[in-house]
Amino acid sequence: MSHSPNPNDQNDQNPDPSRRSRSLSLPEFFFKEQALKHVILKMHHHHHHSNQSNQNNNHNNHSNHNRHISLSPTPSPPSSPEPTTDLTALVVDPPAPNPTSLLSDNVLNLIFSKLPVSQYPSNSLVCRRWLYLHGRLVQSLKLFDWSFLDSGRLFHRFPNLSDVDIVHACIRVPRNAGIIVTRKYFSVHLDSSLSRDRFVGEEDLLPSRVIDSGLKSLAESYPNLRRLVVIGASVDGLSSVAKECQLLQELDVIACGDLSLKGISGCMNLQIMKLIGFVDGFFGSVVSDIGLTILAQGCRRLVRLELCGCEGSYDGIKAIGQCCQMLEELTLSDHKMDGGWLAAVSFCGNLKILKVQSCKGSIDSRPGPDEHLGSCPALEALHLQRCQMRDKQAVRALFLVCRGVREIVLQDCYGLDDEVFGLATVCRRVRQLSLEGCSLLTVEGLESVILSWKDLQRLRVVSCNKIMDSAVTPALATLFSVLKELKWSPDSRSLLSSSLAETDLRKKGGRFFKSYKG
Amino acid sequence: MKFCAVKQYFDDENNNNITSGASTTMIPLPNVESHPLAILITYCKKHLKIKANNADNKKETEKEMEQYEQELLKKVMPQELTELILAANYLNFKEALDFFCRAVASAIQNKSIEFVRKFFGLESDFELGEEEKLREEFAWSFEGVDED
Repeated sequence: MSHSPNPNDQNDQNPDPSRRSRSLSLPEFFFKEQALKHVILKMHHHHHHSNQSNQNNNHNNHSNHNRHISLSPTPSPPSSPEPTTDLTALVVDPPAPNPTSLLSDNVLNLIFSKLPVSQYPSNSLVCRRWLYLHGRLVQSLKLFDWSFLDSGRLFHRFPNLSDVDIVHACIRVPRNAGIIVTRKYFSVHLDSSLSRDRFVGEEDLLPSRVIDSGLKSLAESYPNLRRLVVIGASVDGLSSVAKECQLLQELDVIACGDLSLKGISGCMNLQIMKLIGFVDGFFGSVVSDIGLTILAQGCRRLVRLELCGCEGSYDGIKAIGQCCQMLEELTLSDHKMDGGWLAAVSFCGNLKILKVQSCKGSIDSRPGPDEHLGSCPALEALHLQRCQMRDKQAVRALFLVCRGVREIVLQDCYGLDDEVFGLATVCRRVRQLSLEGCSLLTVEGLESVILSWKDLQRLRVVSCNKIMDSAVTPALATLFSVLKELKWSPDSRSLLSSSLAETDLRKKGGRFFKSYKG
Repeated sequence: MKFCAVKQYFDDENNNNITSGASTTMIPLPNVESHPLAILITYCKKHLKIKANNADNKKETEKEMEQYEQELLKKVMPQELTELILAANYLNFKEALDFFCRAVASAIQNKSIEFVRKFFGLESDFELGEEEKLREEFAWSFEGVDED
């Protein structure tokens, strides 16, 4: 028996014939199917060995494809190799097999990995085999067409997805809708037939039972799903995801109410969660304390939680703090929380970053007495973006809760005048401060706070109009000289020209801007 | 390790024929044509030589190797590349496999579907409406396929 080192391409090219969807007539089979011809030649040499592996592979491929709805007619397996020996004698001097079809899947994938991924769509259309191989390389997808999922084409084309976003597929929009409406963290294509007071009405969203059944097939097809973005699902859909996708780590849930969160409570390994309840002009579902408590009790391994447009109060945040011991980052966007929630933040024993974004009303309308506020023990960073800071009591309560913080970022916050900023002196350990777009703050206000911060090492002041270079005092200048890092560009105009420099506008309008600079 | 397949053969041989001192001379390689084998052997020898010359300096090795590779590519026909890949794969010669795959990738990078088909000698085995349907799907049904 001749010894041959096992070539790794021998087994792989056998699946090729079984994937061809046309049933092959006998002459075609022998004269046109190059790959198969090589198989025949090889079987002539190693009859038993390849025969066994051939059958094994066919069996494997059929069981893999059983789950998927195949739109092409089922492939016919190649006929048995017994007549081979006679027929190769008949075919005199067959032409050499096409070398490419001999390339194993591994080798082809090696080549594909060296190509730019933008060439993927074009490469997929080369031939069936390449379509198949490329489909297996795709791991992340954003779906736009519900029927692609419904018909099963999605699972057939891309069996290895680990990151799926089905939001846009659930919103019924005509295909050539040319308008994109973006609201904060959500954007959708629309057409011009808007006759309602909302951009996306209830009727535009698929009914939740449809979404649930879609989620069920999705979960069954991708048990290794790692990230999912879903809209309008209810308990059934979410619980089937929780049941099948044990590896799910990241979940974005949009417009699912309180009770549907019961479905998520099975997601043991969930670490990152984004809950969008209410988006003005789009959809309004309510996430309240009930939902937050259900979430907290179900997903105890949460590390990052983002609540957008959610209601709730002290109780909800307390539940999260007590149940999710590993929570490190909490973000509240456009919150609709009842007053008094700030005091519950101190329950989050491991919280490192607190972010409050787009808060139009007061940060906390009724923070309560100082003694009950507590402080967040492990907190390191506080980020406030686009928040209204006129309610001094709320701001003070916030700084008190975050008094151990080392990094403060204030960006585009309005109502932040000297007095309000002065409240930040209660945070004694700040090492890093970033101010951007704080247009009411003056140098005096800034100075009075940062001179009291003995640990300050990094300072960034950008686009704060009332801060004048001329008003910088010697004390402040001394402080600047000892800082590890300083970015000082409070002059808004300089910010403008730096951003213009990225476009070519500055060159084109050169003459215009020259006179402006004065 | 270059030519791992051959080495494995030698090892097995030595285990089997403990009595015979020298190893046998003939190693059957049914999947490798003589031409690609010759190129691979030259590649291997050159690689080892360059490595030996610049034992300390890794950068020099790489630079020289690249120069050699560029020259080699000019002499090799694009169609021969697939044969070379097959040979390198069969012989389990990792560096050569990687190099020739890179060569093929750069040959077909950003080229049209037709070019790629011609290069590999492939024919479109899609049915009439299927390719159109696939293009439509790529355009409308999903997004994100060309992101890492």
